[in-house]
Amino acid sequence: MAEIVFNGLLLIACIVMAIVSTTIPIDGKDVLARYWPMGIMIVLIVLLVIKLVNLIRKLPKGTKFKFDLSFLKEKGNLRLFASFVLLFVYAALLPYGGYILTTILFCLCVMWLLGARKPGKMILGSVCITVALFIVFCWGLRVSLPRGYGPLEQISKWLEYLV
Amino acid sequence: MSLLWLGIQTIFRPDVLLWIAAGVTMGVVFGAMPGISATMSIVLCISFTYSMDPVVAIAFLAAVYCASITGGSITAIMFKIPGTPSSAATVLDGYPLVQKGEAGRALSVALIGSALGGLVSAIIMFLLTQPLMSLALKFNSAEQFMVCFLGLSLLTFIDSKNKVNTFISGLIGLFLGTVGMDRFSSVPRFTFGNSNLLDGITELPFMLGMFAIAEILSNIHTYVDFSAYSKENQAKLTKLASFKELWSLKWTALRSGVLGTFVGIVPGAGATIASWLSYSIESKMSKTPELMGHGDTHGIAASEVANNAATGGAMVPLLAMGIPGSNAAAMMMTALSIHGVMMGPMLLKAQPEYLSATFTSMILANILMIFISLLVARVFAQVLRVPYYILGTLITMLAVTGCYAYQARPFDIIIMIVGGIFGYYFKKYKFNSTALILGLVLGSDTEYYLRRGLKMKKYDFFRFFERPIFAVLFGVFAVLVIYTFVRYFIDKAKANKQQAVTK
Repeated sequence: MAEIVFNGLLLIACIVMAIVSTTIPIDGKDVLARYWPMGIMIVLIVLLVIKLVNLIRKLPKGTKFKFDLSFLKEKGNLRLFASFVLLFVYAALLPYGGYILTTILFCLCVMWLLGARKPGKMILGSVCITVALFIVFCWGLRVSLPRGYGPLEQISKWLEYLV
Repeated sequence: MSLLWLGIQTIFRPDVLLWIAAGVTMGVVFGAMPGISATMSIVLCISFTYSMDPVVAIAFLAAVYCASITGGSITAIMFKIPGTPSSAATVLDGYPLVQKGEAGRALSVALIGSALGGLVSAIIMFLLTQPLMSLALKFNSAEQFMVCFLGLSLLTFIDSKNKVNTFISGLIGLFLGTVGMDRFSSVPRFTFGNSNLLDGITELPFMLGMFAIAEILSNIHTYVDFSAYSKENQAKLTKLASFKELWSLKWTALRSGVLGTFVGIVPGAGATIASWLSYSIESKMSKTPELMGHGDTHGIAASEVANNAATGGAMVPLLAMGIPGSNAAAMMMTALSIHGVMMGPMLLKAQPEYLSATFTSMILANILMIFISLLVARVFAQVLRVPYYILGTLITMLAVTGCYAYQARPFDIIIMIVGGIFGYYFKKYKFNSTALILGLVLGSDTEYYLRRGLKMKKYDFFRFFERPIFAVLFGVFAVLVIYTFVRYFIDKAKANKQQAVTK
């Protein structure tokens, strides 16, 4: 059933994109600016419909479609959705919190999601990974990593110019 | 020969040699780790090359690419678990030798075989690339469009199990290639007012997501069991294979090397198909077929020579025409384009030093690999004692930091996360990530050449057929389409017949 939902979502996205593609302006005889992506979308819609029909036909007889959120009770799925949220939160906080602080916290969460449960090892691991990457990228490769704001920015600058 | 001499002059510098050694070590270690494919090894190592000189970056990445395939054979032999899918055939004869207490013999045949495969393919690559480049220089836009399109189509025809899924994946990749500012009319397409999308979907962050983040996400969903890699399960390295034994494998090595290289040239076929094909041919040609699968060194050599030879093969269409033959080659293409390397026929004319550096570093990396792999094999169990929550977090952070460092743009991390979520569900529902990546990498060029070709032919598609090269390429495409349909109906008829017999 989950596969049908995923393919259904892909189909909806393709229909939306096909509609959006009709708004792309055309310049003279060069019509492909609009019709190249539109053509791709139309073929995709056809293929996805074929696939969905096949998937639905393969379902056991008597299967009823109902809105069921019981998959959220499974621990693996919960961890997975938590990691989606965590990744987006990290991306949003990175420019404000700076690389060092945000990464240490992010590493702690990823370790927990990957099954680590000993706080001492988790903190040590997070700090070591963050420091190692900071050294490699900032000092070794001269890449400017996000500094954050306020005192975090001052600390980052101080660390960057340490070497 | 002048190209080879130029390569030697470019590569034999202390810093380059040091980076090649580092690349081989990292490649072998990554390749041997479960869940880290050759593609992911390159993806994770790209971020180290941002501030490198292009020649050093080429040498380093070529070393990682060659060595990561070889690394997979270490765990295949020592633990009966292939580090990369391409080493699965090695288990069949490698592990029985370990059980007989001859781990050293199995490992030395595998490592020397890998190196030989790499060398054979590097030589064939050297010989084939230049004539192909000269041919490709004669292509006009219409023919370049057909080459890109054929490269994409071949992939779909090869994957016979999930044809519809592969088509869908390739088309999604092609669509993602259309996002951003149109190269002809400068009109934004599918950007939804977001200025970050005007440059399109940046390939590197998306690939980092598709491979590194997707792998971590699946390990978060289902925890990995590392108990099979405990030190107690590792075989001890014993006496290595003798020169006489290695010499007896010469025809196997040559056959598998040539076969592996040509399989590698076909887009989408790759190292895994090469190693299985070579193994099955070897079992048919063997004078003692009853020994195959029970610890025959010919089986190990056939698999390992072929899978490493495929790496060089995949570089031929990439270097000559700018069409990657595999996921890993697509990754190499993205990585090298960051350094301003122009893949395709112009490489020979405009940047011969880069082309020669690729050849020479692949040859050198394959030789260095034998010694470094043997050292790594001795300490490998120690590396695997690092808990996965540390390794997984390190991979995630390497991907995230490498992604940010690419353009210092937080939006790239968003692209990477979306790529990761896509990659996870793609893997789960058996879509084809290679097709999507090739679609994304080639999509923009395919559209560009088609539109440019049409403009030059005054928007008359049938004028594309005026030149025989296009007609030949189109003919190949038509034959493939017909073959696929005929094969599909024959298979379906066979299945129906079998079903009727069973009933």
